[in-house]
Amino acid sequence: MDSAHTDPKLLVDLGLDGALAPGESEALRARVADDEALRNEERELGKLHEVLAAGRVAARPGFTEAVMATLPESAPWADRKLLGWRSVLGTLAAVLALALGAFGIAGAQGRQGAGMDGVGFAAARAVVDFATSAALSGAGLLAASWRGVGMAVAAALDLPATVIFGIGVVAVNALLIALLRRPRRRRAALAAAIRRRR
Amino acid sequence: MAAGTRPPALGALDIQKAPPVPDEELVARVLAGDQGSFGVLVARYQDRLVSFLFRMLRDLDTAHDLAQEVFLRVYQALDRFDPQFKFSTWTFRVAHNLGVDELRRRKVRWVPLQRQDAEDDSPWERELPSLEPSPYHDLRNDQRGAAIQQAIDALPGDYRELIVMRHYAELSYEEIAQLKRMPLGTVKNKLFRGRQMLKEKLAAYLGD
Repeated sequence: MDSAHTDPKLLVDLGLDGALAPGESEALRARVADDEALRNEERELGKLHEVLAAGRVAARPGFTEAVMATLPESAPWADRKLLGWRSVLGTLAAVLALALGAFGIAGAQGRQGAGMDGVGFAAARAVVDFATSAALSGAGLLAASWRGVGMAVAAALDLPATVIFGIGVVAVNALLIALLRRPRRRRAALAAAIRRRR
Repeated sequence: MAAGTRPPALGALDIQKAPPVPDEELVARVLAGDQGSFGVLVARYQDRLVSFLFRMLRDLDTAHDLAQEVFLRVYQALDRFDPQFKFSTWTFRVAHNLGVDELRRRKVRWVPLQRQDAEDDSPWERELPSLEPSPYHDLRNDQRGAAIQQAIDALPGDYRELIVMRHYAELSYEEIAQLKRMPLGTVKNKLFRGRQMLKEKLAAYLGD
């Protein structure tokens, strides 16, 4: 803080709270020594600090032990880490199982038809086809939802300007009424609370 | 070694002058599996947290319950602690949020004490002294104790919050600035103004 342009009382306050740099503290000490009003300010603020500090409370004896007793035995973050690894391993296992399943089916079909050469290729292709279908259906859903939003906006824009203006006026009025009613409701709730307390 | 200086007793220097283990180091130890290090953090912050929550909620039992909840939440999310912030700031942010939630929860049951027309809509405005026994019990008949409490309560929300954070949570100016997302200069000025208001209200009790 630039002490040259600061209220000397603020500097006294900061000095008492240990928030001044050593150089600033020394300058302040010299200033306070020459100024009775600042000395009074320092004395009163010092007393205020003491009075406020006297109002602190301590935790009950045994509080630390009580807190430690409530902690879960196994650390939650360790479970989260484990879960992370588990989900990665689970996904890999699922993909592997899928691939093996596809490989098995293709193998069975291969024995009946084209022989074992095309089996690996067919299994890989089945997995790729599965992933592609999943991606396409996800993308299709996303596109459909965006198309729906676009259609709704387009339909709104097709309305006559007077209708849009009317809707806007009604919405703004409803908003204003809601804002005006809220404090009244709060006051009514408080009045009811007062009555209940009595 | 300079003449006239006595060598310290073996090990005494290490024990007496060993600096406290930084919070971040303790967090790392807990994450590495040393749950006991969390006890050190609890012991380090428990008084400040209880004091802070007590000033916020005026109910010592609730302050203890919420402080316990704060430590539990902090422990459960310890792996998400970002070491670029201070552990204290993070912990007190959790405490502050829980305190505000508790005050909101009480909102219907509680009645504003004063300043219903105040601009500040902070939930801190809606506190009432608890009927529970308090640490101020011994001071109940002490006019000064009551006046101090009343003077803090009468401060505008922002000022009161900063006063409580500085004097009861014992957070540094930098920690408060980080917690409240305020410029450091604003924190200094608001604390100064808050103390000036307190000084004015408590003038009768600050004399010799």
